[in-house]
Amino acid sequence: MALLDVRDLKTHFFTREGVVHAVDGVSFSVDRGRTLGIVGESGCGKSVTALSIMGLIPKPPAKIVAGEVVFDGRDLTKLGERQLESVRGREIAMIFQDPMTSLNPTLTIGTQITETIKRHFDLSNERARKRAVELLEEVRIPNAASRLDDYPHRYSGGMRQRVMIAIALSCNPMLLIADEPTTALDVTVQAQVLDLLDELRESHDMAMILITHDMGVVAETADEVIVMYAGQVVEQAPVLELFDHPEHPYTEALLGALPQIEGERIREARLTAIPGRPPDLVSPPPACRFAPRCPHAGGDSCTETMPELRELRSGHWVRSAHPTSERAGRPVGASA
Amino acid sequence: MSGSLLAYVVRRLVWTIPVVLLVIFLTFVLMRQIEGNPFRTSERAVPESIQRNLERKYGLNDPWYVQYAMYTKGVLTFDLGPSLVLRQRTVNEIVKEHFPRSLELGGLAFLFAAVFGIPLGILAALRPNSWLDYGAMFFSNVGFAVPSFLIATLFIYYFVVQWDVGFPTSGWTNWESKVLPVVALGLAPAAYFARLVRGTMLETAQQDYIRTAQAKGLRRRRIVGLHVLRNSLIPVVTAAGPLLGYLITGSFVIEEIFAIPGIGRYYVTAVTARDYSVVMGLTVLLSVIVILANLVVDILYAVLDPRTREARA
Amino acid sequence: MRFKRTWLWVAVLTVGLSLFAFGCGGGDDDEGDDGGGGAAAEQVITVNWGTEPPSLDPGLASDTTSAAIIFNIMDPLITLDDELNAVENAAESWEVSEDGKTVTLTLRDDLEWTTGDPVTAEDYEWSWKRTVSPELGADYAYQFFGIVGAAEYNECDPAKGDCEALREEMGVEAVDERTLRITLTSAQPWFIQQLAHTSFIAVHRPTVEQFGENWTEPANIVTNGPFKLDTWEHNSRIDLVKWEDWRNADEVSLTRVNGRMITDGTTAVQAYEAGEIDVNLDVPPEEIARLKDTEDYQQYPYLGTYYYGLNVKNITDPLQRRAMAMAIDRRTIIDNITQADEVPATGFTPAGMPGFDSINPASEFLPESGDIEAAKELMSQVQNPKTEINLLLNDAPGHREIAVAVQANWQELGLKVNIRQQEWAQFLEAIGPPPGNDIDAFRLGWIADWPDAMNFLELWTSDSGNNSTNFANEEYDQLVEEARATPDEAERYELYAQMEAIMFGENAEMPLIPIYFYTATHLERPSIQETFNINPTSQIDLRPVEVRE
Repeated sequence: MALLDVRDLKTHFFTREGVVHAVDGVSFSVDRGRTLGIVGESGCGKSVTALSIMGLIPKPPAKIVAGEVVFDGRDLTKLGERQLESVRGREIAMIFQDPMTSLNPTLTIGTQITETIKRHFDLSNERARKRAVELLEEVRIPNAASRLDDYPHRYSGGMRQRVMIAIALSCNPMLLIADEPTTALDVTVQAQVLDLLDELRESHDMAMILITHDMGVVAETADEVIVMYAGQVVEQAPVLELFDHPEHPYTEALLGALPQIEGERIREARLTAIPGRPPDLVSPPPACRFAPRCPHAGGDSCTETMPELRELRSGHWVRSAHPTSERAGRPVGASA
Repeated sequence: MSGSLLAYVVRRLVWTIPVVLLVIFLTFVLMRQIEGNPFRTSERAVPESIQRNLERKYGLNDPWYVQYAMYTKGVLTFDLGPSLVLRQRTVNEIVKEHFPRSLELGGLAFLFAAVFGIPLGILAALRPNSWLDYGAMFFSNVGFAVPSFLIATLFIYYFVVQWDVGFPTSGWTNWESKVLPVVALGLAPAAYFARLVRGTMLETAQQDYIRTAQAKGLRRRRIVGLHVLRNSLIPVVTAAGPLLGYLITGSFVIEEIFAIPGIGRYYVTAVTARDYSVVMGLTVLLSVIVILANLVVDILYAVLDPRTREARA
Repeated sequence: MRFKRTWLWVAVLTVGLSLFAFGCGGGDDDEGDDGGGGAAAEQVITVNWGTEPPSLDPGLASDTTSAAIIFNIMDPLITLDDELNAVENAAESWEVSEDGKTVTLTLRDDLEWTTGDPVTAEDYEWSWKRTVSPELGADYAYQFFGIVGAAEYNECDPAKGDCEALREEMGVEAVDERTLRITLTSAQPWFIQQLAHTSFIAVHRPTVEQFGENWTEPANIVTNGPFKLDTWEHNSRIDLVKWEDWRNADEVSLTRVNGRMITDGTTAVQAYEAGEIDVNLDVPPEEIARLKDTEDYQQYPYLGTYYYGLNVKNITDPLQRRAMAMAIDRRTIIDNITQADEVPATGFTPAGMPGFDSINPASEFLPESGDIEAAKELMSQVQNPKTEINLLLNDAPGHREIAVAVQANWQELGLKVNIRQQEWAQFLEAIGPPPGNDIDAFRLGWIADWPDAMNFLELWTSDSGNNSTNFANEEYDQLVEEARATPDEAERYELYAQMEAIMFGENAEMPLIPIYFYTATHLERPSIQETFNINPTSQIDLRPVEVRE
């Protein structure tokens, strides 16, 4: 049984301008010990999906209107706030994009780690602090013991993100959700943090959901990838399969937008941006949401009906009327 | 208290001296500028010989720099001189007798404002856009907009004259007499606190680190009580400084209406009567207090927000 | 969820408990009788004096509040009756020499200080010299300038001259224990009535010498009057108790007079209405209309004149000044603005002053309701009228409204009136004398120091420090000199009438325009109204006051 099973999740935002269908029928699952990458551009709903799993969406405007989030056999959408509080941090942990603002500036690093530990376990202060030092060492913070009582402003961005990871790991969760963990970091630091994440995931035997808009990051760490667009999953496949044989026009475009570091035509290759913008998610029409920007769009199958998510090959799902392998005369591969 | 904090405090205290000297000088110059004879209280002109006698008695016929020097020396030895209008009393006596009452009034009003206003703001922030929130903000707007003298007079009219709840109209004696003036003075600051706290709490609640705290599974009580409140209080503490200034100067109106024998009444009547020594003495006193209040606020700020401590190093 | 609810409950409970506690906490003040309770059994009243008395030292007191209290804790030499005649009090009798320059007072033989020492003529001599001394810097030292050597002594500079010698030469001498001989610089027929002023009250020498400036504190003070100073919390309360050993203690009914110092007019009225005080010594102008017909409202004549001074150097033609006087509608001002039944002025000396009937000129230029037609007629005869008038007021309440009414009156004469208000001390600087060049008219008032018209009329001599009109008339000055030397009342009043005629008669110089004679307004409990009174010089005598049923 999968550790996490998200079924047809729909999270909508009820605003004055209308109902925003931020997450509109998303399904996926994550097995123990495996990493799922969620890719997509800003606004596609990937963060909202993650927050919905944790139950952290802002409740007045947002609401999970349909679907289930089955974690370790329990449907999290049916749990009350207090029960969710026990799950968060303990069984599912989450780290966020901007390490500079994700830590409370008026509390010491030590406090912010130990409070998590003491929340979920009955440990004395000393033991919690000992554990905190161990965690900091695990995430490779030098001089961990003496830095425990420092305030966040004495840590650099990369170090703060490591602290966030330490906090996330402190209670040995089964699942770690990392929402754009390296986006706000220096390129050189990015790789370190990703490596660290991968290592720790293995050593703690955790499952991980890695959310990013960067295809390169996904290629490095994910076992399986889902591509989201406009609140929906548009493609899902194991990572190698996705990169070798992208099916959805959007995925192709994303890969085409990758700077190619290797390859012959490196000097001639240009970054191809994807023309157009994502659709307005307030009461979207029942049509393919990528159609306006899709070079292959055409016919009623795109503009009148919503394409279903179908299994093209084993383990490879696509939501498109014109997946790559069904287009005549087009070579399978990248580059538009 | 870390070493750097201590050095900071000492440095600030030392700086108060030139500031106070400057205040003395400015007040001295300004008081002399506005003319007016401190010895002429009614239409009756003061006969020359008597005017001379009085000027001689109070040293007012010395050249201005001599007067200034004498006065500054007096201040530094804590001798603020005799009152020109209340001929048998010295400024020191007046201050000793009346200042504690103003301090008590201001202090209680501040306490009232904090005890009433801060929780109100917290409650409003916990339930934004609810009836409680709207009610609290409505009250806050009223308390802020209606001038204190109007509130004071209405209080007396309704609570004492019409409904006879058990408070006296005036005076500062038993605890009943203190309720109305304290509330009248503290209402505007309470309203201010309520709005401020609500605003900062709502703003803080939007911060990323609050989301992190939630993701850690911390209980709501801890998130609000520690993470949100701690950060929200910083602007509130900063506001406390000028608020204290308001309470000290605003007390004049309340003291006048409630016939409270405090220092505020003296201050304004002393200016009108050209009682130089009283005006100077009170100005010095009040500037020292405001400076100290700001210093305390700065220290509190450094305690609450560790980031500022670094800047002092 | 639970977190929020706990807070709410705490808030509700706190509010609820507070209301409960406040509601139940009754006032446990010791306020006095409210008149409706038992009979004259409790003879205690509470008076709102309105302000802290700046000084209870008779030598230094210069305001009405201090005077009111001193008057009742000390024993003045004489008092004034309702017609303002001198009545024996601490002085048993007096004799004036033929030339009017020597006054001999004989003190009663039963005068005592609260310490038990007798009050002697030496006490008076010492006290009066003390008040005149340059070191004390007494405001009212000038009251003594009619005494030989007083002015010289007061002008002496202790650093330079031999003031002690001058002190010896001052014309007041204790001939024996009960006799005080006073030598005046000239015959001053009103001198006896002047003795009713608080500055002529004696102080207890050993106490003053021992405690210096603090001798008036309740712990130190020694008095000799019907009441003693029991409590004095500065700026808060001042309480008097009856002195049982006073010479005529059986004449005094009140056992205690509690005093408050509520300055704010509205609060004072509210305190009265809440039953906390029994007497309020001033009704704020804005409340008069509402309170006038209630049973608590009391009105008294008051020796004082409210007037507009004119700068005769700017408004040069007496015809214009007369026209301006004639145009003012006093009746409307009194009925609609001040509303305290003031008396419209027909001269400068106020009604109630002894000799008023002979002195008052009943000026044709001061008609009660104004005479615009006649005024315009006069105005048309003016050669170079000053058409733009700068009117200066001080910033106390009430003056502006009157000025606006006068402005309307004067506008009908074709005058443009600019009203300016200034803060009191600066206002006084502006009118000097001499008045600033840009001041054409100003508002002022004069309250009697002692009950003789000379006190009012001597203001307008050319060298008077209180004459801000630039008015200088030789004949007037001479009349004043003459009157000062005329002991006979009828003759003197005749001279006063001539002075008034110069200013307001047929060929009126009109250096000032009297508007009305003051009244004093009080709120008094019906139970004491009959016995609680003030005389026209606003002296409050607490001796006859009795709380009735």
